[in-house]
Amino acid sequence: MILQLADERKLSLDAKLPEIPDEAVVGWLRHADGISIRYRNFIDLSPIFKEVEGKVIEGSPVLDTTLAAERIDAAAGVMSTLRDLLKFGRALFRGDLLSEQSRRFLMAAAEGMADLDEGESRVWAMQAARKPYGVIVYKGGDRPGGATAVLAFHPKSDAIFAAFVNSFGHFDESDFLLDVVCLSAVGAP
Amino acid sequence: MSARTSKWFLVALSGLALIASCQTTKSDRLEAALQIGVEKGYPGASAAIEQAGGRPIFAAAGYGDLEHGIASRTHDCFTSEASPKRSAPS
Repeated sequence: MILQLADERKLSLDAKLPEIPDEAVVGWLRHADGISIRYRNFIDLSPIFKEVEGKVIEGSPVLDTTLAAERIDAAAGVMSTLRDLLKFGRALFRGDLLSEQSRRFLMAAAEGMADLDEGESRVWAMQAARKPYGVIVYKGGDRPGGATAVLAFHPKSDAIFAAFVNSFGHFDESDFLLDVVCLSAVGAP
Repeated sequence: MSARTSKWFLVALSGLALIASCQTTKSDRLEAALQIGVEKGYPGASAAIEQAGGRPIFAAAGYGDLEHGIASRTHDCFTSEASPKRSAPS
């Protein structure tokens, strides 16, 4: 099996996916000390993933892990564009993709969130967080294949936000997308 | 507000104040915000925002292919990495 769970804490990036679209960005894994500090032996990198010569980010080498087969376990390896992700978000948050009952279930994470302190967050069917610019309902995450993506809905402004960073290993990419980029899009408080 | 969120918020406010002083379009603001991440060390980033009844706005910054110096594009294809995690504890 190309994805191996060597033990409960260990992934093994040891094979490549056969192909990806030409339009795909390169996924970069920042081979940071943080990976071993925060998640000891979390990832065993196969030698098939080479460090890019001369490229260092925040003191760490970077590896092209675009074709890491491990990434297929996130969203089934579905690839998308911002335009398509917005279209999906439109149907999900505003459209008829879900019944009203299902939509309420989906959005339940945000219930009462406006009354909580800034910085509070939940992970239910969706994720929700109380940001300085209001409550944001979102789904986001990262993978060692070298990408971090967020799809979010900001009820206060009725805005749908989609964003991604083509890296893994900083461990703050999702925070950046929500706290900086989304803030710039929906407006400062 | 967690320390991490607080840190980003201060960075964002500083950056956005600068942006607001010299740029006006939503696309410019979005791109300038993405650029903050690129300058921090992310290879590339893209984002889109769509408000109800409005046209979507797209922006990109940095490199889609860092090794070969190919810029990020708003129509780039990427994996929908969606394994959620909470923000790191402060």
